[in-house]
Amino acid sequence: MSSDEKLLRCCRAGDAESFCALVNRYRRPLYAHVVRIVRRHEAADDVLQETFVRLWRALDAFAPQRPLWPYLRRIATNLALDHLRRLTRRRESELGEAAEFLPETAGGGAPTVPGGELETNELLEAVRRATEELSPETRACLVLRLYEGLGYRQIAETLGIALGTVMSRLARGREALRQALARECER
Amino acid sequence: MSCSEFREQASAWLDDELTPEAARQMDLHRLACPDCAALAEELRRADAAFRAQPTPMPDEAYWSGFEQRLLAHLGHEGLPIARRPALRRAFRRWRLPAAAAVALGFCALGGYLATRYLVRPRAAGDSLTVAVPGRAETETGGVSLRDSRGGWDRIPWGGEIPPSGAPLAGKVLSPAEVAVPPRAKGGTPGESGPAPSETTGGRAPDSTAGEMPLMAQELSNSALPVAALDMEMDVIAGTAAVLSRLGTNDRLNLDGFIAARDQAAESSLFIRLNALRRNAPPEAARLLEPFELLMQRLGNLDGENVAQEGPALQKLVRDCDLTERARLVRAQLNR
Repeated sequence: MSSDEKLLRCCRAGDAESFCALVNRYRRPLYAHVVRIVRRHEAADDVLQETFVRLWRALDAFAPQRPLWPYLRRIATNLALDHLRRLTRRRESELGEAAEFLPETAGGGAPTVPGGELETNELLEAVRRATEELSPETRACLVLRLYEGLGYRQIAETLGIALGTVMSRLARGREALRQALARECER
Repeated sequence: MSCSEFREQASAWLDDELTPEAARQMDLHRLACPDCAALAEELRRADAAFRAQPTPMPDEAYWSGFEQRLLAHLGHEGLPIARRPALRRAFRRWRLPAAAAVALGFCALGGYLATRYLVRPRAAGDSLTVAVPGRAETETGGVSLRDSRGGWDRIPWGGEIPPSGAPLAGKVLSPAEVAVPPRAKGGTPGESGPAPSETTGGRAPDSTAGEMPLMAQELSNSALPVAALDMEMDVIAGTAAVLSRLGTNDRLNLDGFIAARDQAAESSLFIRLNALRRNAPPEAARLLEPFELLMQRLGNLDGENVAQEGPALQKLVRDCDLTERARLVRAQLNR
């Protein structure tokens, strides 16, 4: 399999097939990253396409030896947030649209959560609701930290925000999730 | 450490983002305080629960059509993805004849420019010698030259023209003695201004017009990768593309734009744009002025000032309707 660098060099020379190979390589992980932030398929589809369009536009300026995934992740994350901000401005509710999700799941099979005293489905439902009630920016911080494993500085660079803002958003997000779990435990 | 302090720092502590000393304090407090230990455990479970959420992925039907939709999207935006392989094949077939044609074009362009602005580095030393063509600097009180070592010199422009071949640095040139070719007499805005003695008293104003000799030097070196016949169109299209890339970036991506930019290409475009504007008919030159101004501001943009200057420049680019302006310039140049 060709390396990203080799494919990028071919793309810059005008090879559409190499570009399709790159798209094929990154579309699924990128979709998964985006849909965790935007929480609905149509938005993830728009963001995914726009991300690859941005990559195509930037081919001439993009150094092929640079790692591609962080670049795509940064573009996609910010496009996802822009998308959600536009939705917020239009006062369109994001709640309830998770029903549009398609059934396949990333892990394949029922996920497990530590804390066996809780019913897993109820717990996940509580977490899902709490996640959707988070601000998009807070959700993006949590996704970058807990799924992508980025450090605070990398998150700040990806989102173009201050280190302290990353810290406070993560603290706020975790606290909201913790309270949602606590409420579920009390039932 | 108090419980409230523990609570404030718990998230960063879980992420190993505290200093070793702060982390040690947190560890000690957690061991001594059952409530905070429970809190830490609940936060860990919250993390695990967040990660355990299923990620909804579309089925294969979605992915099977994804690339085609994307290519259609690219084609809809006018991005030439479908044509590029064909261009590459054509390039392979015609590269030798094309190289010869380009070489001939450069020779012709160099000869043409040499008759208009002949700027030659001296064989030894840093100063430049010049045979002044006359047209370009009649409105300025000075001229900036970059010497053969890459440094800049600002040279007074208000006395006698030196003989051809004499060192220019430090010479005082008289605008009255600068011959104005017929095309420039009609005057474009900014090219038909008063003589420098009337406006600046012989001092050099800070004007892009003063960069003509640099332009001439670089062009006469034939180092620019552009065929002579297509130079004008390439310059306009290239400039519009660079500026549009800036204009379509959002603020959060400005740093990425700065990191990925090709400053050598931008400088080359700016120099060629400057040459094009100076030689263009008045109406086209007027239309090209915003391109040059925006490229100049882009050249001043760097990692340090991008946060302050970048958004304003982006707005200018967006307000400038470069596509329509480029079309008008082409129409003027094709007349």
